Amino acid sequence: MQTTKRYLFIGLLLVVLLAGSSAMVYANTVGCTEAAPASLITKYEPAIKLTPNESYHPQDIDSYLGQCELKVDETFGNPTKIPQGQVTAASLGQHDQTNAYLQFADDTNWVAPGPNTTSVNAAAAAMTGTKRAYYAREFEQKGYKVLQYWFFYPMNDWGEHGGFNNHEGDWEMTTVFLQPQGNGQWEPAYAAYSAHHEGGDFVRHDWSALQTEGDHPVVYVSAGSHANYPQGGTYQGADWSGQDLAGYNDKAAGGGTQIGGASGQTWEQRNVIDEENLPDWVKWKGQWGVTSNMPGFSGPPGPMGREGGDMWNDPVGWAQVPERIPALSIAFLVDCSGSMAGNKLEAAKAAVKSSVTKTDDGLTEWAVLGFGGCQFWEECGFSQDARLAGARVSRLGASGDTPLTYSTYKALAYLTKSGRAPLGRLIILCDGQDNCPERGSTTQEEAMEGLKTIINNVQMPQSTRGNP
Amino acid sequence: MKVKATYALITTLFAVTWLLSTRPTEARRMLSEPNDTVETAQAEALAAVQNSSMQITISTVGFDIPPGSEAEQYLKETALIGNGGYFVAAEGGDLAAAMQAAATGQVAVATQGGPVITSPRDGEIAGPATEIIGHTDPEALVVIWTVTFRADTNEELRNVPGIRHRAQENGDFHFRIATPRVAFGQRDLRLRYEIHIRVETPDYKGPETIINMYSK
Repeated sequence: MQTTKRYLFIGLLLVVLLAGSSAMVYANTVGCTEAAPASLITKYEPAIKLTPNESYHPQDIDSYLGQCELKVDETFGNPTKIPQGQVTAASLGQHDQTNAYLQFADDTNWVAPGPNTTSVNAAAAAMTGTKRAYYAREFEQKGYKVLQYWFFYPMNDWGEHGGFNNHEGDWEMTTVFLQPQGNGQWEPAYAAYSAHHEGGDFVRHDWSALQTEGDHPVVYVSAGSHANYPQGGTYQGADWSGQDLAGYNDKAAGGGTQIGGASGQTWEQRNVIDEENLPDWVKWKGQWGVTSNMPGFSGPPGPMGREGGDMWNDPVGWAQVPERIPALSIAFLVDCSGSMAGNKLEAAKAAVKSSVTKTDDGLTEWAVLGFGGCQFWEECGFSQDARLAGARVSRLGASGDTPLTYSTYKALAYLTKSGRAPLGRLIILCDGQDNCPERGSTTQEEAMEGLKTIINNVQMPQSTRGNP
Repeated sequence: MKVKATYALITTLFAVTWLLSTRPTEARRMLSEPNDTVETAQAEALAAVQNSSMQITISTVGFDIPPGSEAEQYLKETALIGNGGYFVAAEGGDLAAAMQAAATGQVAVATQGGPVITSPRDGEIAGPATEIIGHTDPEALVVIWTVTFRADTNEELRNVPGIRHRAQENGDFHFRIATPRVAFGQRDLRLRYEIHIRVETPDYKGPETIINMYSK
């Protein structure tokens, strides 16, 4: 009897724990992303060419944060201070305020910096020897696989190189836009390099016109400002509003240290940002460097805040990359009711995966939708990445009733709202009848009449309905 | 005693296995609202298609469904209304083949009584010319015409008049039509060919099947 009770207790405990964890994952809301493998990110990582007199290089943020205090300017002139040693990437989230900022702990001279102020301080100088690092993302936007590389420099000392300003902290970025080729292959089409506050065709470059080392785009970094250019040379500088700054130039001739590419030093840290669980330091709203009343002399916001968020949220729009429209949007609607559990669901997953592979022509996008337990959900939003869609199909689980009619209607709405192609194909896989009274009961005739009403309203070109 | 304990253990393991098989293993985006009903979902779909220029087909795959059952009837009718195909797979059968057929736009079951087209498949890339292979009523007169659109904007460019052919005695037909990659003097313009295959009747309202193809 004791043994029986013990087994039952352990069993019930397991059931409760698993049920609880199910509820927790249902609560999250994300599109189709997947922890990115490093393969594409490392394949296309930039080769950075610095100038010989450059004092800094893209580095890990941890060593920088180790040199900083975190201040929250709650009362002017008397900010709340988190002391050096307690500021870490993980702890930034505890002070997620727009008026928070980081400042080198040893920086006692930064009071009112003006143009050409000698502001390179001891803390920044102590950064040499830190890890050569980038922070990369992989996601899809408007028909492209976007590989975005963020570089952190501890200091912008452009003023020391004939430029306009100095400020603590500096975030720069290179983005590579890949277009699908089918069969799981991608090829680069464009790259965009951050340069001050520029956007559009100033920062966008055709891949075919870029200097590359193997698959690595070559990036010439301006001395001090760390603005990025596709060719070595001197470029007209610009201010925080994008206006030309007469007399201030970016000197980006290369010739100094190179990081990445065939002939450069290796990247020591390749940090991949998890799009489903963004780390606190990414979401942090504060400034990476002490703030100043003088425009152009404050530390910048983090990657999510650069250019009002456009570089992070809408790189295609920021760089004015031509949007790619797929030819066909396929939505797979998979019956995940209880009767599908076990081998049947496994067969369904394999069938969807093979269908994705079969239609991977570089012109098709897929979404994976599920229904069961009187619910309808998106397992994978529209994507042209067959690997990613396949990975998300694997996550389908089965339980409960079969809300077939309800889900068919919901899927039609989803397909037309979220699909980007002119042609949409809804594919329904099902092993039974509609049986979800919770969503309202309809007869089969009523369900078909409802479907006819919807389909009759699909906008078909006039010519398809008449005679030639 | 030992039997009871074993029974309890088996029950527990069963419950745990069931939970493991049914729980979502990772995050997903729930799209159901608590107050959703079939009626609200229908209204949502209607509004969505009215605000979209997307041309939609619906295909269905019946998995382990008894032939002639209400469930099968439901899926067949859905495909018929959705101008798609209905495909069948038995449990342990080739579900992948059925799904692939649906995904590649096969219309193995005639759509609204139109000719069955076995090649090309809906959504295929067109070469300079395209073979249209299918089946219809014996010796039926089949008319084929093509409407060409810009693939990016869906703007209609040209309606190419049809050709008429007689199907063979067994109903098979096999025609060749032009689907040029460069159209109307414009290069680098991606095209969508909407190919109409209709059984000719005196009132010109015979059953029709439409296949979409794309230039490279």
